Amino acid sequence: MARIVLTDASVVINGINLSEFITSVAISTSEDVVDTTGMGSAGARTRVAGLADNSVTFEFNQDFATSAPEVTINAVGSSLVGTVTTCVVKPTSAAVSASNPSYTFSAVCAEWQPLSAAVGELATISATWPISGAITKAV
Amino acid sequence: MNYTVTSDNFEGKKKGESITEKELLELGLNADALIASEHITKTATTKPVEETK
Repeated sequence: MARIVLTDASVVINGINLSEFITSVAISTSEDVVDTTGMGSAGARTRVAGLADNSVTFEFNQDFATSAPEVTINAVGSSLVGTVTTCVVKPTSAAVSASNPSYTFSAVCAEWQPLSAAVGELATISATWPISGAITKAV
Repeated sequence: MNYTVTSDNFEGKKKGESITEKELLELGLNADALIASEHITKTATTKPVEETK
């Protein structure tokens, strides 16, 4: 199995491919750990996994042009910010396969920074969105 | 309701192709946001005119 350096990750948000504006993507899953320790546990805690808590972090290069991040995520009249939207992420833009799985999920667009940069810097956006429900992996 | 894709970045559809409301729902997409961001437009539907004799 080949290692992978991300150079062509595919990010589709609400059906729109924003990959060319994405500089970083991270899908995270953590599980609550529920203590089940009872008497007779031989002096050590026992635990089981509880609820999963998923999130995704995207970093974008900001662009206000047509089909770019700002208008796609934060359009005047109907913004995705504050809504739940479907996202699909793949390691590469190639077809889905065992070596290029897709991850599909519903993310809550809980934050958005239309403008964030210091003088002389590239305007970028870092957005961490909680995921509602499970992440579906397809191969 | 039918829509016409007006964006080059619509995944799985080319600019000028049609997509139905049902397809958007099945894909879990927000039609209002796609219209507001000019990725799709509503396709004008023409009602067939009955011929009068």
